[in-house]
Amino acid sequence: MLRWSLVAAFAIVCLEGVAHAHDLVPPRPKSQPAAPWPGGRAERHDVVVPVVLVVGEDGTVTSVEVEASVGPELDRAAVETAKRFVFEPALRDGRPVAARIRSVVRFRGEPRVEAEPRAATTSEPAAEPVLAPAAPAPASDAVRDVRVSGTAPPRSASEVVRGRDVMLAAPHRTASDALSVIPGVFVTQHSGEGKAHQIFLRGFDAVHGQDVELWVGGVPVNEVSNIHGQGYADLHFVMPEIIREVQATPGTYDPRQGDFAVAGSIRMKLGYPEPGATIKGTLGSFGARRLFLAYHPKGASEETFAAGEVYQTDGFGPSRAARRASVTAQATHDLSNTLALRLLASTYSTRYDSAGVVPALDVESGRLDRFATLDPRQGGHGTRHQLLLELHEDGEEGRWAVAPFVVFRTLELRQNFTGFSPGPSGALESDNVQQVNESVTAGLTASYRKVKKLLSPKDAVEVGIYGRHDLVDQSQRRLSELDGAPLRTFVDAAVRGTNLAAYADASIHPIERLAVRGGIRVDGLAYSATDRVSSRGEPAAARARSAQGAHLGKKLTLDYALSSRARVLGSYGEGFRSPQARSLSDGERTPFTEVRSWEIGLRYREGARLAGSIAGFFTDLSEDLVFDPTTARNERVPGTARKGIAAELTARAAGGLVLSSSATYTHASFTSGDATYGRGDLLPYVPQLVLRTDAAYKARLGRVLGRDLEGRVGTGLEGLVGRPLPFGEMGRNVFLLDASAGLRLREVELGVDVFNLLDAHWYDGQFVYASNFARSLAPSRVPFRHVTIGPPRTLFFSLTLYV
Amino acid sequence: MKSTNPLLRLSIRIAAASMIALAALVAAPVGCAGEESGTTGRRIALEVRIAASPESKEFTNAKGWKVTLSKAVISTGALYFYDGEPLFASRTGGWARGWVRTAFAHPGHYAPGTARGEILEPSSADLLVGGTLGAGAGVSGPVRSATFAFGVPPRGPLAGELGENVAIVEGTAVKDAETRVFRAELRPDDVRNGHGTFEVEGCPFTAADMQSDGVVTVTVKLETWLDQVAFDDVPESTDGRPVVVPDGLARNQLVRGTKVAGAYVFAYAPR
Repeated sequence: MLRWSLVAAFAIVCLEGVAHAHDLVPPRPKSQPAAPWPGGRAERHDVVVPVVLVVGEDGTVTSVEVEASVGPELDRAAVETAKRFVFEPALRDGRPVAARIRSVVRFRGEPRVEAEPRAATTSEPAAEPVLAPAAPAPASDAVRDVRVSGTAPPRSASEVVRGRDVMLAAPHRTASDALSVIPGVFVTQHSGEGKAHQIFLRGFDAVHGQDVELWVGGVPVNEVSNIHGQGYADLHFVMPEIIREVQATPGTYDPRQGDFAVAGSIRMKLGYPEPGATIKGTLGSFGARRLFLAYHPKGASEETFAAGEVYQTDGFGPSRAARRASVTAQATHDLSNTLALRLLASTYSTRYDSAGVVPALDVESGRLDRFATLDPRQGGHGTRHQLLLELHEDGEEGRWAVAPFVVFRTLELRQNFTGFSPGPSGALESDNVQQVNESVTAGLTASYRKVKKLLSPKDAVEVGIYGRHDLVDQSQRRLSELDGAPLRTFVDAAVRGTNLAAYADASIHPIERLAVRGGIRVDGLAYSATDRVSSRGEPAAARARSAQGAHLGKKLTLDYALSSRARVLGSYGEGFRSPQARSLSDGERTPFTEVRSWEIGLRYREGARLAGSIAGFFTDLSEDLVFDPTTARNERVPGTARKGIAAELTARAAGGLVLSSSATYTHASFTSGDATYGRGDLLPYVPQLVLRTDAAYKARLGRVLGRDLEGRVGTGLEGLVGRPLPFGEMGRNVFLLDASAGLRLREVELGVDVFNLLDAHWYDGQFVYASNFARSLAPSRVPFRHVTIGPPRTLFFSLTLYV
Repeated sequence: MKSTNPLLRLSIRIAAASMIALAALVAAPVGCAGEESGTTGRRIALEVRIAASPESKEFTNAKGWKVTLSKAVISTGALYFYDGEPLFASRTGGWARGWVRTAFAHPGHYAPGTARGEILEPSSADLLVGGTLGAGAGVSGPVRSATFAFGVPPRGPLAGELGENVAIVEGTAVKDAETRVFRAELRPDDVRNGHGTFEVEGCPFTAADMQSDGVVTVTVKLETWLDQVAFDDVPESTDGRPVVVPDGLARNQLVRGTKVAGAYVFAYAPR
């Protein structure tokens, strides 16, 4: 009867809110017939299908919904079985009432050990539970520990977790593209398929990651003091198929958020659900070819898998070819009932060409073909190798985890944003610049969370530490137009960075409906930089300088349950933006940009069927960084503020329909002025309205050759409205439609993905500065618009074998 | 048991509501910046004119020659206007002006700053009459200095008259009983600077904050060009027609005069 006790426990937990105001008794199971395996094909292990039931006043089940799909056949069998469940009806003040509860339908596995059931049948239900495969008789159910994993309570109303069904509704070429399913995120790729994307989030131009903290599988992705940009985060090593879940935490409300979490944090969890081996071959437009291989052991957790890809393309225009190869493997192993080990290893390499920027006016006037390149020698290569080992224990009273990691990164970029400029002799020289950044990052995260009754049994406290040390060697050199040899060295430096942090977090429930979550985080950062060349590029005796400082951030979230489905959350958090090490003076106290965030909003959830939120937010920075057209890089500017509204809705209907929409409006402006910027002026480059809708539908179309034929269609619509540029201008809006469709006959699947279905002519990146690509002796020096061209309509056809 | 139709209907309603919301979002007004707010600055249109200073027509130079000009034609190249300080920005003022002379041990390094305006099209003009060089472009903000350039080869309405020269100046110089009727022809090599271009950097731009379309006037102080010229080296005219200033001291002094940043003064006036 333990199984049904678990069901009842679920039922009790699910009657949230209702029990607070009345004397309520949840439904109690009376009769639950065994769930038959679809087609009579039993697995060796149990399969549990979580369902949401509506139990009528007479105790019969009037409605069944699958809360988390396990597969179309199992879902249908679970629904049919659950319809035959009978309960003692729920009671409110002694009277039967209809009630909605969570329950499970268990398909019992048929274990491999044949002899054991004979031995087990001789044992009576004993006082001591026996850890053995269950006997056929329900009365002798074995006690099993069930590990339930879930998402931590949100820190803000707009915090979202995107599961695979939403992630894969629309096609995505890379993990960076997949970030667009997060409300308010817009990504662009302005320098070739191997360079990190530029990320925009809630009024922040995070460039390549300086304002968005990115984690994949528990490993930080942002690179400290990367020569191309602080916080450079390249996600190309992640294959979209192995993204199990993406959690987005906008703002700075969580004590676990550290360096680079200015606009927010994004954490990816990895996993692959398809049991056995997957072989997927793809052919696409412009010579695109991809081979994806994956293996996930049957019966193992989704987190255990190995996957690899090889990809190449000729590109949709000159200087857009790219190649990459990536392998990721992750394994989890239960050392005991509570202690688990996770190992994550990955290796990645890429080489790519880049078409660079073109003057917008030249393209719009027809003087230049929109896919042309003005310097075909741009591009780069990169590698990433990483290893993480995580040990965690989930006990009854608490959870601890320790996860050391190491990352090896190489980046080489050749780029020319400005054409030609006079050299020392006065003659025009190419501005093609090579940047090289090699780094080793070693670090550790550790945390301990304990359930601790302070005001209620649901209270908990958590402490954690984070440490990271980066060894960076970097250089920047001007290249000869003739043979690409380095002509002049601008930067040749060694950088060391250390970040040590500790946080304390508490979750307290002073009254039943109210949860107070908050804590503090202290970060200590230390940098040293040794320059091997002078500011004029001449070799010089190594000049070392160092700086260090600390930041204390306070975080607080108030979470009030209006009902069992609706909650209102108010959040406050303090964060910081760290500087590039080379920009610091000796002994400087590592001037942080202070960040303060506020948010208030409403969250609504109706099981898995419907969830949504709407929130107003405000973020204040003590100083900021804006692209300066004179220096062609981000420069410090006065304080800024971002305020806006974010709304999102995700709906899942029976039969495999999922729909997710979001809209984020942000007004980003200066809060103080200087000689260049005026108070109240808009921040340039940050989008004002970001729209996104993902929709997908799966259905069983029939039976062919004794197998279910399943079809799927999906679409993603992305919109960017209002993109302020310098000098009072507005960049072009963007509307893109992607679509995908597929047919699967169990082991074989055919699919087609279309990107930019409407073949929109759009600009990926937009910048304003002066350039001289025409090698003119009298070039324009007043800043003007440069753009990178977005890809045209692109098709991919794939054939997948599931073995 | 109740039918699942209500659930299906609810699902369809949810999906329809979402699509309607999407359509509304897609149809949102293009651009969200109102009239009252935008990024810093504006693009402005500039008309560029050029003329000789009023003093250019008749003046007495440092060598005591009274010069009366009858012709001054110039070829212009790309002109740029910057927010950086001009080359020899005066640091003295108030009571010290006229008492304390600014001493320059060596030419300073001109750092133009941010370009606020420009005219790129080469042209030519009669300085004594004045003329419009053409339409330029700019962005709002302060301007303090400029770069002047001679156009090589000459373009514009007076290109034919200039021929291969970048400037021609004719006139009469009188000192005591001496009279010289002269014609100075400046060739491209005469105005080439140390970087190999034909620019004169760090010219003063009467401090202004350009916030709207306007007119930029370039005043060429020909008296500065000819200030150090000793016309003794110029042969006397035998027939009253101008004599081309030959290579020599006078010509060198004239060439040096054309490279003085202060000989080109820029000013802005809104329309």
